[in-house]
Amino acid sequence: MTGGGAEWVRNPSYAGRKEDSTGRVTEIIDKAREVLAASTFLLADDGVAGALLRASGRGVRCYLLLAAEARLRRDEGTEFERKARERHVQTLGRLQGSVLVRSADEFHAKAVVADPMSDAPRGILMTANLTEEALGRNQELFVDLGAGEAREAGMVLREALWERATHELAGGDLRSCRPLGKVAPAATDRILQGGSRPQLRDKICGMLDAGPKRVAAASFGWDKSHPVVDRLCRLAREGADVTILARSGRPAALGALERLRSAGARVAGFRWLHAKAVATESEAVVMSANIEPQGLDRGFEMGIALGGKRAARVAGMLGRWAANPEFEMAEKRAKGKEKAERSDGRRRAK
Amino acid sequence: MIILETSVPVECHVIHAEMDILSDMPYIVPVLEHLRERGGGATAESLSAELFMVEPLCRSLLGICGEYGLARADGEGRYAATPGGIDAIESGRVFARTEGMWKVYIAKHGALPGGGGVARIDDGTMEAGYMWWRKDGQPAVGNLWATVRALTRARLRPMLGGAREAVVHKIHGHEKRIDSDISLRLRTRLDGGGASTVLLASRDGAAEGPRQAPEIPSEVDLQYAPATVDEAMDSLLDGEHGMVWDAKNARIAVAYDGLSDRERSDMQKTLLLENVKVGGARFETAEVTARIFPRSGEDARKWARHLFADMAADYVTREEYERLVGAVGDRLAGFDTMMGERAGHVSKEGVLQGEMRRSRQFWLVQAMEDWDL
Repeated sequence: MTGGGAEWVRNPSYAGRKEDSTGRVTEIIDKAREVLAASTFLLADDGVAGALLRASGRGVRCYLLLAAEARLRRDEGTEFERKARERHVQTLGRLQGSVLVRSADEFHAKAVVADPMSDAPRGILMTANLTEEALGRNQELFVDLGAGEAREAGMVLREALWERATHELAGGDLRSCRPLGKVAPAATDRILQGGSRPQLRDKICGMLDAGPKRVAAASFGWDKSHPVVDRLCRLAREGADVTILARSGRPAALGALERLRSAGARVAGFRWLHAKAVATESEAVVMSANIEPQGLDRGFEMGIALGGKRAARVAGMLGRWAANPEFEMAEKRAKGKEKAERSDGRRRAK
Repeated sequence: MIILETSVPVECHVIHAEMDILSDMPYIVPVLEHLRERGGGATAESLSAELFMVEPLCRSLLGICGEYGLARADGEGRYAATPGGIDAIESGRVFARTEGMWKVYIAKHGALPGGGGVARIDDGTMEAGYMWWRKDGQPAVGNLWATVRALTRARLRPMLGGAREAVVHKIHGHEKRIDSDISLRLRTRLDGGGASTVLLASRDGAAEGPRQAPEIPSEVDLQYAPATVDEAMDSLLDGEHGMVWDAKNARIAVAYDGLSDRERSDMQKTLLLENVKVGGARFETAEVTARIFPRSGEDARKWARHLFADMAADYVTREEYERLVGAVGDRLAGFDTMMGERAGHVSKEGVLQGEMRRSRQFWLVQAMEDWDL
């Protein structure tokens, strides 16, 4: 795994992820009373599908926002495996008739909100898709939403459902659909959107422009010339403690990661990292958007701006991951030295 | 609309009899008048002088009158008119006595005119091919034939124009047969217009000569009402079907729960009943198609919700909701459908639960309520 003058170096003491987050999602679904809205790029988790069926069975109307089939085919092999897409199709077949599915190419947000229009909405905003791999294997972030945040998230999903969806699967019929023309853009404070309303990009740029001393940024996708990458490089050059968490083994991201490392950032790699977040010592944003144009500048993405203890928890989580990375990006070394270090690492692991 | 259908058995009577048959012999009447004027003393000579005809012809005419029972000879060439001859003079119609075999087919059913009639008189000395289905509303001759004892006094009246009348003079023999190969299929249709149509058809198709099957018409239309639609509906629907015919509005009051979705949407129901009695006649089947409407306020409310969902072609926003409520109200005029509230009321009442819950209609109605649109 190399790219230019840097390479990923394996950390032999890396332990991987232990917990399963399916329960955090199914708890929201199981407590829904009237309406459940879930947005995910893919849906391929038996636990979540079972919870949706249970909810439908007790009369809860379940609305799913998914990526359109064409987008799934296009992205197969980059963000997820063929198997995941096949399970996604099977899961939809299982849910057919019990849920209303609306989809669009641009749908990439990840959130589950119960009773969004009620007095007591509940919700969770995630970086994870609702797949077994994402909920049980990947490095992902989950943010429990307060009532106000859940209501805001619900309003964002409402607009996407009725004004941005291009296809619909209801009662077994798949058909194209038009915007309803009735839902005004959601006015939100804590829940931020990406794409044509670049709240996420503006928020992150604002956080970085404020000159933080310490920054941790995690993303699956990275674009070398994105304004957020520009700002992270600048901060690193200015001496700030910048930590980058990225998925290893993605050639498309290496250019940005090398640039960041060269600027002085520490770059930690994980085979299954999928979290997207930026955290400073005082603020954090957790989001579905990758730090690249197809995410922060295009598409339907959601994120949440956090402060105080919640921001500190995000920074702490990124810090813990970064403290024990699966890989670390380092200067390319001579082949003999690399070989010696590998065998030394294996001995220590034993 | 009611379609009643049944098979009608056909009886076959073979009769050897003497009958006076209305004959096309207008020239006989002046001969008979001459006999009456002469009071029993008419001869070929007197008739020749009276009618300016040659004597041999007059002798022949007097012989015909004798053969047909219209005149009586005294053995010396003098003739007098018989009572039959006097009748012929007074009525202007000449009945000629004829002896022969007749095969008479009779169909009996309460829905037929007078309970039944002669379907056909075949063979014998009468001209074949009379179709004696009555169209003039007079008593059916078939009943008389069916009562063989009355044949001696019966006057056969033709049921179709052009057929000849006949009077049974004496029966020499009678045999009744039930020909199982021959039956009529009776199909009568009653609709709201009052008049009904009886369609008759032979079940065995075309007649076959060797079997002596009668050439029953393949289809005969009659204007005949075995019962009014109201009476028929009453008799058909009462009892085990538990439905009430609303004659004033021409519709049946029914419970919502027992209906199919199609019936609910069309507000029309077709019942297929077996072995029914209508207007005193029994039928194998009755197909009853009628408009239906709710039996109770609760049925009306459920029905309204079904119609509402049925009419929803796209997502039901507030504005669309108001329009659909109006349309439902029009179809259920006179009922309080309690549709004044928002669309969520529709699904929460349970109509959109069950299988319908899995339909697109459910989402069209429910989603806008869920998302306050």
